[in-house]
This record gives sequence, structure tokens and C-alpha cells, in this order.
Amino acid sequence: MFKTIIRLTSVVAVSLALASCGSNNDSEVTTLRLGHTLDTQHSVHQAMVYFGERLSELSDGAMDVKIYPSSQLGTEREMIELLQIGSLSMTKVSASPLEGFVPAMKIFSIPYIFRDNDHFWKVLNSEVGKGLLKGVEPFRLKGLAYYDAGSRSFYTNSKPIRTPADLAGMKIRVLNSPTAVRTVRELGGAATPVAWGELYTALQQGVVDGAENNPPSYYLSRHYEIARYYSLDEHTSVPDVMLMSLRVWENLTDQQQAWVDEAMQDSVLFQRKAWQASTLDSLAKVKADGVEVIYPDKKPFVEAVKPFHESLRGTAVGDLISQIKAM
Amino acid sequence: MRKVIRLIDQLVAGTLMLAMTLILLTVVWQVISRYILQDPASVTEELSRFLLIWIGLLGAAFAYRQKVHLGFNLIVEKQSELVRKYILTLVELLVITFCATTLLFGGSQLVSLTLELEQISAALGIRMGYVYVVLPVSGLLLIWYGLINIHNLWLADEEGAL
Repeated sequence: MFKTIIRLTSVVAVSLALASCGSNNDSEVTTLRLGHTLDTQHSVHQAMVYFGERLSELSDGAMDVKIYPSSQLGTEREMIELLQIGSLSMTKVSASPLEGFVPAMKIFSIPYIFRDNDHFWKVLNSEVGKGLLKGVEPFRLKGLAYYDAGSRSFYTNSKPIRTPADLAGMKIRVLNSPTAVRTVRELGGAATPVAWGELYTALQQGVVDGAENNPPSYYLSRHYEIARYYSLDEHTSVPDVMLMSLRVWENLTDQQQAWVDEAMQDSVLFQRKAWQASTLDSLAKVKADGVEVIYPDKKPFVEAVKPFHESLRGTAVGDLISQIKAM
Repeated sequence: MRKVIRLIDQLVAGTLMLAMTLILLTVVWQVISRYILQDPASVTEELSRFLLIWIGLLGAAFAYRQKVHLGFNLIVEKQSELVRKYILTLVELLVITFCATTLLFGGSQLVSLTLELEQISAALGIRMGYVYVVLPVSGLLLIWYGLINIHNLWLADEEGAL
């Protein structure tokens, strides 16, 4: 009995060792491992698949991408750490969790700094946007590109939000960040940080009266089943950021870096189209389900956050805001 | 020597009691602020999570010292006195190796990386490195207790156990 066990174990051990040798030897292909937290249905995931396809095409099969979706490798914050250590090649994170690593990224969590979608993209493609992307390098990260993540708006279960006054006394779930908490407070609501995965139950049980997110997340999370009012006030536009481990990036040859850049630019265009399609599709689907979608006048909301903008004057973030507004 | 060992034991137990008290108060405050004051505190969720990490890792060292951790001893108990001693020593050495490489070495690297790059926690705004410090600390404690266990196995009788 005992001998059989030993024999079995050694067989397994030897074959494992051989298997790992094998994969090391025939790997002329440089594989980039990419982790993210979204479902495979999501437009961002499809854009990453497209990125992988483009990269293999451009490099004639010398490079490929292996994607680990649905938080298999951890939360966004944990994956940024993995990138810093160099254990993971690439990830997609929202600019929000990146705040804890790169303070300048706070800028995207501040409400109403962009006039509209065109202004938003103009800023991202300008020196300011490129500077922010470059600003992650001292933190051992390489910013590759921005993906569209739309604008976040409030959804509530008890009453619709037409003006900031409607938010008074309502408990709104926010991301766990001081800026997000402050935004909702300035607009008059009570900010409650709740984990994303617990939000459905929290809405159901009345722990919170509402939350805020972009249309695809509102639809895909099925929160519309409980929160039946969606007010498109579009208070913040937080882009997704494609990151690479700086260590992995520097180990690539110049040619490989150029391939990655080109494939990434193609996937950005792909993703923006896919995102817009998925936003329209999500809104149509929730409307069809009977959700009341409200298009409130944004002016009172913009007025309500003015003191917040004023209070940032003189700080590094405040300077960025004036640069963005001047554009 | 005995004094040092007792001091460390008490320090670990004291820290654990403090952390348990704090986590209880934090969670109670979270409920009060959310349902009674209607103005939910934003730091409680994160604070309790960090405290739980500390309690888990320091608690592991504490339980190891008290020998109340999970263990499968069916086979070990059936062996003769001498064989049992060898097996138990091997177990201690494996534990020490794991703690030295993963918790102490890996943990220290993580702490220095997060401190150097100044990663900040989302709600409390403290450096994540301070939270991760518990990894090398619990690694050191587990190694310390592992060494004491080996000493007790070979060099001490019932009364002389450290």
C-alpha cells in the first residue's frame, strides 16, 4: 500500500517536471498574461480578445495574449500589485482603484470636470491624458491606453432623481474611495461604501436606496431588477486603464513594444465602438423591462459640485482641473 | 530565556485581545452609524477587514504556540516514541521553511515594495505596507515557536518545556 503510494507520487512528480520542461523549451512565443475582473460578455473583454488576435497577426505568431477573466487572479487592486511585482504582464483597471497607487488618477473621480464625451476624449488624447498615463511609470507600471467606461449615473429604487435636492437623505452606494464619498455628499446624498458583489442584496434589503454606475454595468449586474429609476446625470467619467508591468515591458524588444502599441491602438478603436453599442443596447433592454430612464437637467448638479472644485484650487489636482476646463 | 518567551507570548496575546476588541467596536459602530444615525461611516468596512487580516495571521502563531491548531495526527500517534520525535521534528522544519520563505522573505518583499511605492488604502488612507507588516511578523513568530517546539522535543523533559 505504502509503496504504491510512493510510486504513484513519484510518477506524478516526474511527469509534472517533464511537462513544465516541455512548455519552457518550445516557447519561442512570448505570451502576455492578462487578467481582468469582467465577464466574458463585456465589451472590454471582447476588445482584449481582439487585442490578442491583432498582436498575433502583427507579430506573425511570435506573441500572443492569454486572458484570465472574471477576477480569476484577484481584484483590480491585487492585480496592480501583481504587475508591480512582475508576476502578471497586463491588466485592465478602472482609474478609481489606481488612485491608491498613483495619486494623480484622483482627477477622474471628481464630478463634472468634462463637458461632454467629445471633451472627455479630447482630454484623454491630449498632453494631459498622456501625461497621466506616463505618470504611472515611477510606480513600476506602464500605461498602455485608455478604454471607454462611459459615464456613471444614479439609479434608485424608491424615487427618481431629477435634481440634486432629490438625493437628500438617500443612502447611495459608492466606491470605497474618499473622492467618491465626497462627491455624493456634495450632491446631498449619504454615501455608503458597499462591495460591488454585495450590492444586489444591499439594494434588495434597503441597506442602500440607490447606487451609481454606467449603463452596461447597471444592466449586466441586473441591479435594474430592483432599482427601477435610472437618472442619466453622468456625474463622473472614469476611464478604464490598460496597464502593463513595467518590468515585463522593458524585457520586450523594441519591435515587440511597437507591436503591442499598434495592437493596443486598434483595440482601443474597437472597444470604443463596442462600448457605445453596448451602452445603447443596455439602455434599450432596461427600458424594455419597464425601468424609468430619466434625462435630468445637468445644470443644478454642476452647480452643486462647484464648491468641491473650488476647494481643490491650489492642489496638484486643482491645477489639472483648470487645464482640463481650459481645453 | 523563559522570561523572554513569556514576554513575547503575552505581547502576542495582548495584541490579539486588543484587535478583537477593536474589530467588535468597529463592526458595532458600522451597524449603529448605518441604521440608527443614517450616516454610514466609510472607514469601518476597511478597518475591520484589515483587523481581520491581523487577527488571522497573529492568531495562527498564537494557536501554533498553544498547540490548538488543526493537525492530522492519526499516523504519528501510532509510532514509537523515537519515530514520533523524528516525524514531529520534520514537521516543524517544514513549517519553519515555509514561514521563512513565504511569510518572512516574501512578506518582507511585499512590505518594502508597497512602502517604497507608497500604495495607499482606499478608505483609511494609510499605507498598505503597514497592513502587510503582519506577514513577516507572524512569519518570525511561527519560526520562533517552531524552534521552541524542536527544543522541547529533544532537550527538555516534561518540566523543562519552554
